[in-house]
Amino acid sequence: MKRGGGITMRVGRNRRPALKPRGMRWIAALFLLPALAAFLLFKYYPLFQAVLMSFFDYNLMNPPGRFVGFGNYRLLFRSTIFWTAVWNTFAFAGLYLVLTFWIPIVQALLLNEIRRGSLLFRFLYLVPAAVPSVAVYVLWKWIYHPDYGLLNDWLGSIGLGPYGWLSDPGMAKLAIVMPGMLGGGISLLIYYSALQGIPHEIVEAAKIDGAGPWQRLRKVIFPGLRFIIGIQFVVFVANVFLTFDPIYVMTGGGPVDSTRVLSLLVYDSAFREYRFGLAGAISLMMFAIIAVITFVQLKLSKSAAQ
Amino acid sequence: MTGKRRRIREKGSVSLKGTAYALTIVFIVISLVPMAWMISSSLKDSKSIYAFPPRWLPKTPQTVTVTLNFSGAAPAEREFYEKEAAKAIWYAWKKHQNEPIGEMRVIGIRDGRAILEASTPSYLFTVGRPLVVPSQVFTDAVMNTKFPIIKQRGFTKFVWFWEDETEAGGKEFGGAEPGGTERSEAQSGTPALLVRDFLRQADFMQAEVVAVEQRDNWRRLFDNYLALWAVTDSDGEGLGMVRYLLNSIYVTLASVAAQFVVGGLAGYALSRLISPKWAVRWTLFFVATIMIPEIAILVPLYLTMEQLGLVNTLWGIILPHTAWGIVIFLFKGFFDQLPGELLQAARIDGASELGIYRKIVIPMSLPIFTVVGVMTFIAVWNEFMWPLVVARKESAWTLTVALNDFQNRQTLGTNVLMSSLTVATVPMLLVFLFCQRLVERGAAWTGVKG
Repeated sequence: MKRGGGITMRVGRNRRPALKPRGMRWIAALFLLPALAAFLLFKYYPLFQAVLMSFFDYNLMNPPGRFVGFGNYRLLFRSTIFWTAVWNTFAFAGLYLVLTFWIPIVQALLLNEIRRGSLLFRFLYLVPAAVPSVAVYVLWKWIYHPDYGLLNDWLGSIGLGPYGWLSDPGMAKLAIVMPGMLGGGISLLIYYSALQGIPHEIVEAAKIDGAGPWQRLRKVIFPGLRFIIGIQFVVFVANVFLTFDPIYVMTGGGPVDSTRVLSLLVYDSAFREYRFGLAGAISLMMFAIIAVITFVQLKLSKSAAQ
Repeated sequence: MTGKRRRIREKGSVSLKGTAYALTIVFIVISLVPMAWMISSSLKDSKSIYAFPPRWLPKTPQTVTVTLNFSGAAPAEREFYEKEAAKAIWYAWKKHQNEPIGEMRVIGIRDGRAILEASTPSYLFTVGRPLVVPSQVFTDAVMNTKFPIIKQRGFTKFVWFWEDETEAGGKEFGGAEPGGTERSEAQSGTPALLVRDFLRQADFMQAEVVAVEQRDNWRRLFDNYLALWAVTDSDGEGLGMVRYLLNSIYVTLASVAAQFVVGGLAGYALSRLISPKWAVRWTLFFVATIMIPEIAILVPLYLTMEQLGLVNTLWGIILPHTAWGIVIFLFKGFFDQLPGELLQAARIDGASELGIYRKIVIPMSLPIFTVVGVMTFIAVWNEFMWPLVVARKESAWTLTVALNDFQNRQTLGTNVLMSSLTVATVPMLLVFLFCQRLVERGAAWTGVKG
């Protein structure tokens, strides 16, 4: 259908107004202003401050306090607790990856085979996600209870345990990760909707060509999921490196520092010991680690795509 | 041959479907176990919560009714009778505080007629216990000092059946006959029997303990939830559940609203009001902040809030939520897809940009607003680290911060703690129940866009 004036035609192509009155720039600035202020104040300024702080023996009363150059970093690299925390952070990331990342994917693949009652099943998968995450960790602390806990009772009935889930340094990491092993929730929905996005005809065509379920999964469904898994993987890794809530609620870093991670170290050195400069240095180290990992991941996924 | 092949495939697909159903149900049941345990624990009394091996079904609470006979005593003030009843209730309950007692009732009789009924439900016992019976000292002197507290806080309800102490009156007493036997006496170790033995041996009672009965009272199953609202510490400070709930709701809704305003306007400007070259740069400026982990700027952000005087305020929690790169990205992405002709036509008609945005863009963009709203709701409702840092005073705590604090309080029983977790679950459950489709759409959008 042909529409009048060239102006509208151009707008249709570019999806942008071609005519730009002078006043528009002011309006644009006005529209952007709140966001600009918010991002400067709550993202960029704190980031700048974090860098600055890490070079000072930061003094709350008389900021920024004494300049120490790389003193905070030197202190960090020499302290054993920092390296313990680095090791723990990577150990947690590995554990989360191996034990939890794939579960919602499997659940979504199974759910995708289901037609009847799918809405109900999706709702039931959402129900446990309604418990606020902090409440989940408080609840699991009760399930892990050494004397009255449900888990030790169950394991005891098949002849295992009793385990001191949160008091045994060898078990605590696993105990922190385990609540995440139930899957469900939002991540399941993300994979499910991606699966629903794979055109039905392609799957049917593969079926007619004689591809079994396993082959269909490998040749048709998985390639369709690869993009979303890639994105979710990057987000997931960045998140597990920042794990704070379950550790703070369940163990507080103990027993014997077996769950002390970098994010907890930041919190403790800032808000328990009031060594803000040190906290700034640790958080920048975390920033650097995550940035490097994300960068490597993006590079890898790009080269894999080509 | 083809027929054979089709049949094999048919069989395979049926078994595949069956496996999918079976495994999905297994996964769902497993993921629901912790939640079921939370609800079960929240309904238990203070004894069975610490039973090992753990039981799934809570015991039905018992109403224990004590009949006191005042016939022998000299006529006295009402307070005398009420104190006797209060002693029977509070001392006996304190002595056996872990029994599954849901309610204690005392019926006072005189000359064969009921004159007084006193009762305390278990949630008020939980609330009053540290105030009224902090120790196991059961004497008249203690009751004399504690009785005003009971009256003033209404821990025990007294109902009188006579108008005046002097005149004979009261209600026809049809309960246990003096000296008669009761149903429950057959079983030993029941709450009623324990209470009877304790009261009969006690030297603080002037009235005669005639009978003690017990009866199932399932309504008292939910007293842990009532205790949650009523419980106070020694200063009379409540648990503050209402305040934390309201704080959380306020923070969540205000965050959503702030994101609508800030993110929506910026997204529209990026999409429609500035040249493509600059739009790319500005979008990068906003969206690149996704890379900054929260923990990296946690400390300086706190210091910024301190400079702004927003520490320990709800707006201190809310305002940083206006700077989420993903929100601006989602808005811009959606506005990019709107038909430009319509906006241009309105512009030619002389509508102002704000008018266009309000009257045309927003009504067409309801899907993105609901998606951003629901996803923000979930994220902010669950948020823990930032409120923990910036709300250092109880007045600004959100529910998540409060729940973490509850678990460290020695005075709060695990059963009451579990009921607080259950209450914290309800708002989100309602969102999922009524907005499941929106949540799913939100998951689809944010999932693809990271």
